[in-house]
Amino acid sequence: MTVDTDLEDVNQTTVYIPFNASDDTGVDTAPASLFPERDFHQGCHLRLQACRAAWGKCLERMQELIHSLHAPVVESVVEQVKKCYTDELPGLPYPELPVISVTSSSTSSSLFDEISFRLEENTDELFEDTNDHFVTRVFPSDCTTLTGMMKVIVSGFVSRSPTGGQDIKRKPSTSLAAYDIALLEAWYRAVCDTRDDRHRRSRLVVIMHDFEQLEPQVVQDMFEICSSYISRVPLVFILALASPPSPSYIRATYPHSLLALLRVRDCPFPLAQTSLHNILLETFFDPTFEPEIMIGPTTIDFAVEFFTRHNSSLDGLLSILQLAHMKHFEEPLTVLAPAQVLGQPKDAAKVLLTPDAFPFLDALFARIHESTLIAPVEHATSWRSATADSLLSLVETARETFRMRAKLLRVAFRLVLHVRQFLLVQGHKTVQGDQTVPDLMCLALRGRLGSVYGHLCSMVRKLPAAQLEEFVREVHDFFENAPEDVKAAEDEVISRVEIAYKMLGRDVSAQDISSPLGNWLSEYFRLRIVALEDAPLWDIWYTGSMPFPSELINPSPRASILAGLTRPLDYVSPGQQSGDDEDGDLPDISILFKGYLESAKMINVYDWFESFAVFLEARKRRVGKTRIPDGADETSRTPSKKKGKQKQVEGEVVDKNAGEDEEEWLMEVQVRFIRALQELDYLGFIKHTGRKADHVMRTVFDSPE
Amino acid sequence: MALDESSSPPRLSEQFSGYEKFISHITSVTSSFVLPFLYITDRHNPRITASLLNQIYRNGGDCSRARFAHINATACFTARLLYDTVLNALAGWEVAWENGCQNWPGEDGKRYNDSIDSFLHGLRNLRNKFREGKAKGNGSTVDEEPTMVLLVERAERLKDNLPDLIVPLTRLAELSQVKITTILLSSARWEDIKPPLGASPDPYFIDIDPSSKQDTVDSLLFEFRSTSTKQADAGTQDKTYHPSLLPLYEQYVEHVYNVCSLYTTNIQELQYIAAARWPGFVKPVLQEQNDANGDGDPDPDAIRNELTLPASDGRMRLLKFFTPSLTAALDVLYPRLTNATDWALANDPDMQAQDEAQCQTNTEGSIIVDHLPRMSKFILLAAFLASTNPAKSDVRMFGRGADKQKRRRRKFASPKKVGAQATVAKVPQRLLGPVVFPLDRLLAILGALLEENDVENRPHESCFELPGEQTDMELGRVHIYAAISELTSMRALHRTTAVEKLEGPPMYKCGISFRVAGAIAKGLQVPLNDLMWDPL
Repeated sequence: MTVDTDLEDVNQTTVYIPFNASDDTGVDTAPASLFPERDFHQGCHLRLQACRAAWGKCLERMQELIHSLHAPVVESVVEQVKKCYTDELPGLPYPELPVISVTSSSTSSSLFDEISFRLEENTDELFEDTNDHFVTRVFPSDCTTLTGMMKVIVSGFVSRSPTGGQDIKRKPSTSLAAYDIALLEAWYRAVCDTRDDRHRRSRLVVIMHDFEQLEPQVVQDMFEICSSYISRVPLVFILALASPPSPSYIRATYPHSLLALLRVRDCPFPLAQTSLHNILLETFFDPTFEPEIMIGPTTIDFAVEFFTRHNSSLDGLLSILQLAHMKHFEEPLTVLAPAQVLGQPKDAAKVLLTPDAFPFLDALFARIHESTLIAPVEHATSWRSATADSLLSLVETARETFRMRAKLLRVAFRLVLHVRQFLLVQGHKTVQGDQTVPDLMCLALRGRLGSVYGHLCSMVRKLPAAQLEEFVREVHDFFENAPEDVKAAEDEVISRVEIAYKMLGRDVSAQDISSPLGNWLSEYFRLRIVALEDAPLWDIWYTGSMPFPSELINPSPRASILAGLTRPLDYVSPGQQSGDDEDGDLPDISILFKGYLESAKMINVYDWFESFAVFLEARKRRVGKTRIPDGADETSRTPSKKKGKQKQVEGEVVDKNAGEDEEEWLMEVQVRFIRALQELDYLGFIKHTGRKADHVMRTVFDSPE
Repeated sequence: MALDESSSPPRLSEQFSGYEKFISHITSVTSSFVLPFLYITDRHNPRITASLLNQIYRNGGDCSRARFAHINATACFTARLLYDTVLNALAGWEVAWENGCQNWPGEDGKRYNDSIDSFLHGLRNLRNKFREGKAKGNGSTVDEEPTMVLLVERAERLKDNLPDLIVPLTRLAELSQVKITTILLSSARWEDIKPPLGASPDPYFIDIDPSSKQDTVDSLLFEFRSTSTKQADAGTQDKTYHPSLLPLYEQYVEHVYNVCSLYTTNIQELQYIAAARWPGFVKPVLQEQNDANGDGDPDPDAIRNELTLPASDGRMRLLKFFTPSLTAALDVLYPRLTNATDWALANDPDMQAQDEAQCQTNTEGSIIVDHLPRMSKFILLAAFLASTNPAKSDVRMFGRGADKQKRRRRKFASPKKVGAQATVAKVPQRLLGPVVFPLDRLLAILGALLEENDVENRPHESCFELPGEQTDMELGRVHIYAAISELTSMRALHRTTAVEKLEGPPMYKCGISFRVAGAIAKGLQVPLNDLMWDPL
């Protein structure tokens, strides 16, 4: 190898190490399965596909919901822009500059794309075939100075030719400067002339992104300039704020003299908390939508907890649910989650009948026989006739069972919420309880909603006549709107509600209707709201109480680094661990770190080096002793290539004449010390104060033990 | 505010009541070119003075013969902008998009905006143009030199934006040999702006006095009349500003003045508040009028008709009824917590919204902090404490004794304070503004807060046995740091060290006020007062 010789060559100052693709083989191969004992070769790949499909469906639904959250805000902003110069209060001392602040902390910036699209589209309301308003977007990075900001605003509009034809060339020296608002005024006049717009109805809208990051002094001057041109240039500002509407950033930052020039209107988002509840409800508990994978109570708990505690953004919610999907599909059995992921039943059988897939088949077979899919009497005989096809068809049955069960659970849960809402509106405060909607979801999924619906049903039994009529109608309508297959499955309770509905017309006392109705509902809920874990093969479609991998979303890097330094061997993959000898295989940096933890605030580097040398010396001697009985597996014991080389060197050292190599050994120890010290330094554990010669300062003091 | 061409000085003094002396003064000083440099100080209403001067020179009597340029020193933030604006205004040149937005003098392509020399050159050229034009026009004497006036509003900004231009501007007539008067109008004193070493000549000073009550009322009445003519021209059916309501308005404005003058006597602020309340105030009167007329056909001439005003006891009752809402308006509108248009809508007496509006204004008083995740609230609280408590007190305030309960002592009379009494009373830090603290201190205080107040609220994990171990783990989590940066981008925390600086811990400053911190602490049920070194 030329590289090796180059590296040895003292005269070479620079060595080029070419990229060697063969080092990184296995990029395309699937990662190792977590459960190799019951997985098959293609399983991982197929599961990834299934996961993608399942998450795609869920994501699409949630994005739709988030989008629909945007709609009212976009609508109100557009409305305000439209009327902002016409609805002024008469008698004000001077016209105010309209400013609309939009708080957008919990959603993405696509909101502003929607707003600008809506403002620029052609509604035929104002003009025949041109856009209604003009929009320019301003980002903080362009606006560190007033000149820069004015230039962005002015050129953002002026770059569009008012006549639609060729742009008129301006001379850089004798024309107006590009940051002169008078230029914008001239442009706007030209726009109005070409459009024959005598009332000057089109607005110039400036969207300012990340408004908090703009320099307040610059913004203040900019607003002042624009305010003095209001009568000639109808500017409207839309501010994208990340901070909450209360306490207001604008009012806390800008002086009264500026605020007096503006007419600030807020367009707040609905509370993030409620949006979260709605999105969860509409995605996983909507009778008309069936997610491929049902989310379990632990995941819901985590999502809600994380949302209220750390990060109230809906994008964060999406990541959590995506991660939950990925985690779910780690289980080999989930390859069966979507119908026909293995192709047609015939192909599927072919795939499963390869020797490679036998462990998987075994596991599946065992699971099916544990479950209720096969009647107990048949147990004795059926295993003989089990084929891949029969197993797959049983899975198919289980899928149908689970799907229906989950669906009926959703419907029943929605009815519980419905009844609760109804009673709340009627003024029964006690039904509120202290559970939020996600709490109720978790209870329902665990099948422990009994006390809640028990209370609701007892309230129903006591409903007075006037409310009862409305209540029965509500429930009746609820089932009326349910999907057809649900109606078919729930014919019993539906017919009972029907009876109650019919009884209303007749001369029956309220008590006679309400008390059986309460019982019927209670029975219905008891039947339907049961833990999904009772269904056969539930873990294919339901994440259940699997703990959420929260470390992936919210890791603690500091703790991980400390743990890695103190117990490096825990991080080595199990095959490479050599086991018994605890200190023997510690990497240099860990040896150094041990000394670090034992030392005082300031560390004497020379002492540190000494102790390091002693440690290595001791290890060398030990290796020398053990080497004589078996000297074969040197390289296999070493965690890394680099150490492999070192060990070989050690081996040679023992063999050769000790006196001659003493110097070389010392050199090696020193090099390894410096290298490890640099690594610690790079990780930020060392501070060079220069206060004391040969000393460095510790930066970490808490013991990670 | 645009007046007709026919307007004359008497109308001016009507519009700007209280400025009569000033008007005659300034016209006499500038009508013939006597003084090259005037400095007008108006601490109260520079905006009104500017519009007055604008009208004097645009269309008022003798002075309107002068060429006039009115610039705003904020808007002219570079020298080039100033040159362009002044020359275009003096020449009466209208920039047109079609010819590529050329500056005066248009096609010939001469450039007057690259330095003060060429600007002066431009001024001279401009003068010559006028002379030629006049000579050609009426063949009168050629040496009648046109006068020019340059008014610089917000002149105090010149000092920041264009410090080099102050001297040339004050000596403009001398340097350019053109009869041009420079008027600097500012709310600051000349001494604060004056370039050093006496480089500028001393100006002719004019100070504007604050307007008296009668003047304020008069100018508001003038605004009422102009609004009512504007509305009549626009042909609206709205009678809110009907001319015959003027006597009632006068009484109303006096009342507004009496209520608000304790806090502000600024004419424009008073007008703002008056405009917000007036539609609601006059509504009962108009309604009564409508009822009296019967709901007959709306007479097209009704606007021209006289409205009968309520008798004096009726007026008194009206004023009395609306007094509380006037103070409410002052509370909300003067700091611009909302705008007049929305306030007028929300406080419409007809919509029975009075109570609701009252609730609304109350919520403005007590801050509700939602929208923030729980951890961000804790971080803000920790930042507030780090910014107000001295760093040395942290161990005492947040440290726990061995028996962990009731070992926290707070010094209501610290020994330091006793000593300080003899000299100067110590001002609490929360009144002095936040101090800077390093990230580590923020995290340490956050840890103490979480350990005391948050342990019950988080999901328990069995793998943590030692007390405080879980809190420690939570503190190192990525999302704590993410929340800190997010709060920084919201400017609820201010980072005082540069982002690209890696050396040393980043330093922060708290960006929330005591009241906001109090509201957050209340929401989190943290006894904030107990944790402050200088408790309230």
